[in-house]
Amino acid sequence: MDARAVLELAPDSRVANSATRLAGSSGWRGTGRDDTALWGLCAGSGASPYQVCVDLGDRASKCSCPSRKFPCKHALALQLRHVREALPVAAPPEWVAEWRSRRQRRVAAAPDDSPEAVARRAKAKEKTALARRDAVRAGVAGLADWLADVVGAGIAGLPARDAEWWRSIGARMVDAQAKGLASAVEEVRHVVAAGGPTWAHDTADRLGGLHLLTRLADSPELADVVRGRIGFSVTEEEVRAGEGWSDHWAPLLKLESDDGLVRTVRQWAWGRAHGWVVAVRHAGGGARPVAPLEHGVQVRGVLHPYPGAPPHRVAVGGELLERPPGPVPVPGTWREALAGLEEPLRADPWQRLHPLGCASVRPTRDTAWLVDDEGRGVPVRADLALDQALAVTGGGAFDAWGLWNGRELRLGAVARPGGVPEVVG
Amino acid sequence: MSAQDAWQGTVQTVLVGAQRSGATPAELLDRCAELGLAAHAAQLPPLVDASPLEPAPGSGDVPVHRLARAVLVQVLALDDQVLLTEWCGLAKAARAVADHRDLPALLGLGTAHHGLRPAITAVLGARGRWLAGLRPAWAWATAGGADDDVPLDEVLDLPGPARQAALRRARTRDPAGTREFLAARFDGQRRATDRQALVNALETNLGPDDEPLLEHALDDRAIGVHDEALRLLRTLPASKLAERAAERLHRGLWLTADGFDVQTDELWTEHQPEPDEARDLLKDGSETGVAGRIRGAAASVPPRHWTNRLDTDDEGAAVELARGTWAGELLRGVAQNLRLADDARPWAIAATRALTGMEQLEMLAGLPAELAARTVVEVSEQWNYDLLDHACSQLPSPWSPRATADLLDRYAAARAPRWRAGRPPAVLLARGDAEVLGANWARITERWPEHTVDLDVLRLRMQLREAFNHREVSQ
Repeated sequence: MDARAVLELAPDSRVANSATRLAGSSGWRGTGRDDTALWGLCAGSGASPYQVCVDLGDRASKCSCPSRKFPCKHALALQLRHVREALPVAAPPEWVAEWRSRRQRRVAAAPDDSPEAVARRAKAKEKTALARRDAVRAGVAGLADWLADVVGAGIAGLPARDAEWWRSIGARMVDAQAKGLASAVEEVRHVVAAGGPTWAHDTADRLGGLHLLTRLADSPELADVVRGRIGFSVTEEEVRAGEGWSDHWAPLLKLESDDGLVRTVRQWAWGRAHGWVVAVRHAGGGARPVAPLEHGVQVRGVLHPYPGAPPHRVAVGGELLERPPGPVPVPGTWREALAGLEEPLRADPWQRLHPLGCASVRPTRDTAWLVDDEGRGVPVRADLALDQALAVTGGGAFDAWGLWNGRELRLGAVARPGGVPEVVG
Repeated sequence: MSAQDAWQGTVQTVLVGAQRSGATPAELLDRCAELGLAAHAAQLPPLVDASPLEPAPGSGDVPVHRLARAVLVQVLALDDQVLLTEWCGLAKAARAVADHRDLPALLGLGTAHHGLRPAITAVLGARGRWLAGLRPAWAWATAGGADDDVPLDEVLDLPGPARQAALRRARTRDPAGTREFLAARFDGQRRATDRQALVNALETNLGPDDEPLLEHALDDRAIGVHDEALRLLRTLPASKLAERAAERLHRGLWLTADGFDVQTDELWTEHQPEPDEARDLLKDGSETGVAGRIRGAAASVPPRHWTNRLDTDDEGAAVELARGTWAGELLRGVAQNLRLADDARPWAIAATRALTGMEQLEMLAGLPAELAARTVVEVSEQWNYDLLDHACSQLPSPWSPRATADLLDRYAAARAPRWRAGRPPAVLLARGDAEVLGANWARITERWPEHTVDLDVLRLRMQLREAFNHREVSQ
């Protein structure tokens, strides 16, 4: 990771600022590294220095400072020092070894393997699953009634609804153990609250999507996708134990979101044999989640797909090895690119954000559109990524990749026509 | 009916509700599910008639080395404007421009902080200027600049700061034409602040040709206008004001064995000045009484007046002026015009002995950077820490290697107040020459053992130097 990638882990700019200053501090001692971790002691305001260590695998960190920011400035500063000049290889001190073994114990707590215990667990699991199925069924029925009420009364009254009204239906879905439905209702609320000229269209679309979910909740059709949308989750360990896709991956697109409690980073990577996949990571407590793959760096390795539809959500498997970057295939026109969305939308009709690319596009004079060789264009979002793309390409034609929400493209990567993509933004 | 029309109709119906529109909720929701998906997915990208963006002009600009870019990333994260200015200065000196990827961030910073604009503009290169033309907020970085388009006739309608900036830009472009414009408009301005602003605009590219208008402004009834004109006239070495003041100094002072003293039965034995003399004095109350009048006259002549009169060099003249009863007033006056001296150093040193701490700081602020630094080094031996720190804070960065080494010695010798004992002086580490300070790293950390963020800033500055030196070596 370079300095920029390390600083991107900071939960906010103040921490990044402090970490940069602290990295050059002379208050560090006992710094070292081995194959899996960095560690060091950083003088703070207290009598004893803070013990800081960072796992090089997933960049998880531990620091004895009282900061509630995560990762704290000490953990980031230690990584920055390592970026500037590799820390000396050394044997890990006791407190580092202890932290590491505690983490490993937590990850691989040995279960009781006796037949009785296995049978007991299976029975309990079945019971839990049945109870949850009934709860979800009741929740879906409640949601169907709610949808009928809302559409019956008309959505014109929704902007006047207070927070408590929205919270009550969300809480019902949470009680019904259908977290996915609760999130979907929350999304409807955000669409209504955001307003704008298309809020009614977006709200009607989302309500239609929820209606479709309630209709397909007990149907075998699109079962994997529907279960995922309702909120039946699959653990990362289960996914990792399943099928693995070995490929050359190019992580080109990234989107960060924050619902107030949890921060999420979604990262779309192009696999030469498997097409687009999306890796997701969450972090709570104000921490900023680390992107699962180093953004913009092409790697070879194994990713494990979750059940569902393309673009599949994936979990990172073993070690990913950096590979020389190469070009990424891209549709020749916007028409071709948008037509390519048919298959993923058939498999997951609720998807509203798609990775989309087009070869050799030119920005218009007002930089509001990206126009292809046929003279057809898509609106592009005016943001830092677009400015960087213009700065890099100088107004010439470029291959573009971005996230398409049906209205505008959020640019994420650009390349000279036929060249190696470079992430922007 | 097209799918699009059907979708619009469905949304209208959902807005008013199934109950009012006669449909069933289930039927309406089915239509939402079907047509909403179609509206999202079944899109044909429209043909766009708008003309394409003009490509950026080609250029031979050389981007900075990747190490320098890596330092810029850290500087941007640190949000330190002084460091950013230094980075830009080094890039400019290396005749390199910022990497294209960093241009939007730099333009954004320049938009937010006016003070950074000159430094950032220097490293934008042709690509950055082209990019700046794409966003109205970045117009300041384009070749012409946004405000340059204001015609001179409309400048006076602008609000205060914008008017002043526009007038100064006009003076830079066309000093004579702008002077004529100012002269034509001067008498028509009813508000004193407006007339004062017109006079103030002459400061840019001030020259002998501006003297008639300034002399005219000396007769203005408003104190602010009069004093502004007098301030500018005093910076002209061969003005009529200087001649009048020289004549008064000849007439009013004579050289005694104890230095200059007031000539008996002459103008400065009178209590009140004649109207002609009063016209050449500041009316803000600072130049009253004999002392104030002598100071005013001394401030109106260049230091050359004294070297000619005493037939000696600057050093000898400074020693002579420092001897008399009126030494303080004369040196205070001379201190206002040190820029006009052939050798300002002896004047500055002599003046600091007569001036209060605040006056010394004011004098130093008016000196060119290197001279000010050398003067601080010369005179600060007896200064306390606070005065040294204030004076150094006024010295614009970057300091020369010699000034840095000398000021490091001064700081090391000065006794810091208890609250900051052991902490390195921030201004020294932020503005001193990074190479000199880097070479003295051990001495600095030994003299000031307490670790502060200023040391981190210095470390980053050293990395900055290394990054640009690396590039020069690799070239």
